[in-house]
Amino acid sequence: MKNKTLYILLAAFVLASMVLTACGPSTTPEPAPAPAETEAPAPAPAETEAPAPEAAAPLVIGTTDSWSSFEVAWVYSFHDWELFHQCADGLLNNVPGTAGEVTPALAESYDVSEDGKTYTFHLREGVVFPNGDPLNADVVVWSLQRVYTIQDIEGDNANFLVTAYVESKDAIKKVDDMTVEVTFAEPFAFAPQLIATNPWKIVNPNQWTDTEANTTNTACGIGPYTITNFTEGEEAIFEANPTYYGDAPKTEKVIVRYFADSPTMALALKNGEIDVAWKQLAPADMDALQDEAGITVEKSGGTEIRYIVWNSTTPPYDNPKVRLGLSMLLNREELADLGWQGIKVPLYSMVPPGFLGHKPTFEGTEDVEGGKALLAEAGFDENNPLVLDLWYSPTHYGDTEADVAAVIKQQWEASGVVQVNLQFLEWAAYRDAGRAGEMPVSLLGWYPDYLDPDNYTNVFAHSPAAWSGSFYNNPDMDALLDAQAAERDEATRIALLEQVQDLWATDVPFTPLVQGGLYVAYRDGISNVVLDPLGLFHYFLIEKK
Amino acid sequence: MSSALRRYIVVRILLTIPMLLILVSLVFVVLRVLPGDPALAILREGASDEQLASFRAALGLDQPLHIQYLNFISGVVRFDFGESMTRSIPVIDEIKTFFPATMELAIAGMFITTVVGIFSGAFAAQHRKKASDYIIRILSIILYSLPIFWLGLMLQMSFGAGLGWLPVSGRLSPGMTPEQTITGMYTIDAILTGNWPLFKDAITHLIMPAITLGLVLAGIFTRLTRANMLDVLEQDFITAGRARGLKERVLVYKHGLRNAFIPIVTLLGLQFALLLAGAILTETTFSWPGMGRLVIDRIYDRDFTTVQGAILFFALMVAGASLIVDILYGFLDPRIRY
Repeated sequence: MKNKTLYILLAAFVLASMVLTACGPSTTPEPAPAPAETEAPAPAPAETEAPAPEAAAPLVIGTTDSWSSFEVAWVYSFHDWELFHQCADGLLNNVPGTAGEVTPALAESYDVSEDGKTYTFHLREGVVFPNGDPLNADVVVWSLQRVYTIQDIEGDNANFLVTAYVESKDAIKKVDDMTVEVTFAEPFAFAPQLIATNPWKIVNPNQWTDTEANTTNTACGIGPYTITNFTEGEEAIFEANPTYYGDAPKTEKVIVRYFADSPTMALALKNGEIDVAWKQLAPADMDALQDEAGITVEKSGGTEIRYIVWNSTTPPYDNPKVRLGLSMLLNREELADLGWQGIKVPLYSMVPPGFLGHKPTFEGTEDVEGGKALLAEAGFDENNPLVLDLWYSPTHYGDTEADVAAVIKQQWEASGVVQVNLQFLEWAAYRDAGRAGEMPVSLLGWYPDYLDPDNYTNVFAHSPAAWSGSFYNNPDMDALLDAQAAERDEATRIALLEQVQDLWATDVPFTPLVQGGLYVAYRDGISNVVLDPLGLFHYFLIEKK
Repeated sequence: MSSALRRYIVVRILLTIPMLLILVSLVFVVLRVLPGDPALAILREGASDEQLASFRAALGLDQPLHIQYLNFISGVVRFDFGESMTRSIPVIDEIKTFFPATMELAIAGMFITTVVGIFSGAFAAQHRKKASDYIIRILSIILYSLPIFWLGLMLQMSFGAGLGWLPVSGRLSPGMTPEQTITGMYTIDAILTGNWPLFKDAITHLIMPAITLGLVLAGIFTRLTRANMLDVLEQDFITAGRARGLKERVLVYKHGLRNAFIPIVTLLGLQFALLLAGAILTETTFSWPGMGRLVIDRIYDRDFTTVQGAILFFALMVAGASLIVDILYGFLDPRIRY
């Protein structure tokens, strides 16, 4: 009798398992009509509308990114930047949906001196912090000078976005109660883009100290939201700032949920636990979600770029013909599809599309015969192939890196004039070897510090170019880079940037490969999701019905 | 407490100290001899030499290795694991944030392991060489062989995304995280504060991760309990009880199981390390924000101080559990003390 009961229980268990597993992957809790074809991201609205109704359901955003710091002088990673962006404005803000356009924020307007070095900010009247403390020139000067103080006490971090460009700590001055003056060391054309970065955000002296860095202070500054609760690894809760001077956010309350990996985040989206799945959806999960009813997936180009570093002091890579010849043997479309599984798009200039002066000077240069001819001029052919070590770091840029290196190897070797040995090192050792100039040909990636073409060109190719392991040194390139950085006339600057990119395509200090993509998936009822090239997510624009 | 037992306990504690010192030193050396400069790994790619030097100085990485070691050891003695390289907060605070989640999962997993493992083992022993015995033994091998992440994923796809009965991730529903906690274990905190909606929410989130972790470890307990029970059930006192007309159920589950329990309790202690390792995999599968997530995230970040602090904390927990088991064993079996 007892055995019979056991058999029944076991059979029920097995049957239940089979049924549950069978119905698992193919059903969703709330089937809905399929969304229309995915489109390019909508442009940012010029103005937000009336605030969301009270007691509306919170918007829940999932992410696999992790938090590092709320210290305003140190907020540097994209996720930290994104969190801070919701609750702290700067004197100038980036315009959502654009690649580097800025707009007055806490400053109502600003003037620039004749020499282009001094910026005078006229602060917005009547602006207060969430606790009611007023914004004035004393607060702004204290907040910006604090970035220097924290650097003096605890070392540099993102502080350099202020301290490396402003003339000195004393060059941040109060003119009157509502006017602040900042003098830069040089007439940087990209100063407005610098001012829109995080260390330039204004914080409240009554909520922050300048005696030590504070990575866990969630007081932020003045923004559309305030952070009302933050539990590392679990969630961050944002609620609308009732004293905000600007347009109220579209959704009263936003909750950011942290996930360990993309598959769980995708399941949570399907299960209705989150409304939006944001960075980083893996390619397989993205493909699966695209076929899911009631879920929309959007894609856009991002600011991340991937490129090849040539050590310009190591033969034969000191010969531009070799660098260009090898670059011409590449097929970026194939590399993006096979190496990066289609999640990145080909890049034909170090300056990504959308940025000022972008000129795809590597477009049309993919020519195997042309590349072989250049390598032949340098002495390499089928009888005397170029034997090279291609270095990569297997985990830092994700699991696809080994595939990327393998595809490049295959493309170069298909020419018959190159033999490639793949070499890899873990990230810390990789960076050591790169800086020491021990890797003649290596793969690297870049996220910008500020949204300006200068950060995609000057940082790389201006001598001594040591941090990347390139050591490229060309006085003509230096002169062009210096000139564009100081040029305030936009048309003239664009012309200079185009000359930089023209020279880049012949001298090839670095070879641009691909540009990163941004992907977001969201459930029906979510609208106004703005993907901009900066890679920041603007929680305050998203609407949930 | 007899003097022999007291001496046994003191000796066990003293033996734990060099073990921990060796472990701590190993962790320190291994992280230092790994190639690569942490400053280069952590700071942005374009960081200047001055920025790198200032970062190394701030973290004491510019000190000679023996000074770094002495600083580290003196910190560990004071239970100060240093400051996170990437978060600039004390590592012990990081552990305080993440450890309660792991502990809650480990306790729930151990509960499932114990209940399923011990009772199925006892049941199999009672029905030795019958169909139910064979089925339970096969199932226990299957359970023990299952990859944790696979079982977790199957549960997520069926009870989570498929039927929508249970949440697939996290410890609580969005917005439910309490601002203040007592133990950091949400189920316990909810009971202590009488917050029943929180308790219900925490339990619903705990079910699938606990079953995943518990079932995989239950297999070994099923087999151990069955083997011990078979020994016990053949002993004279069981035969005597049967002759006196005691019910089979009472004989097996009251008298037999109690006597088979000593080695099982020992294994429970020894399985603690395995449980923590299993918890790391389960945490990743269910996005459970515990120590496993902490260690994996910080390894990616090259945050060596947090990694070494977390490993050390794990080691202390395992050493502590082993010590407690040894001492308990001394209490339970007097022969051990001599």
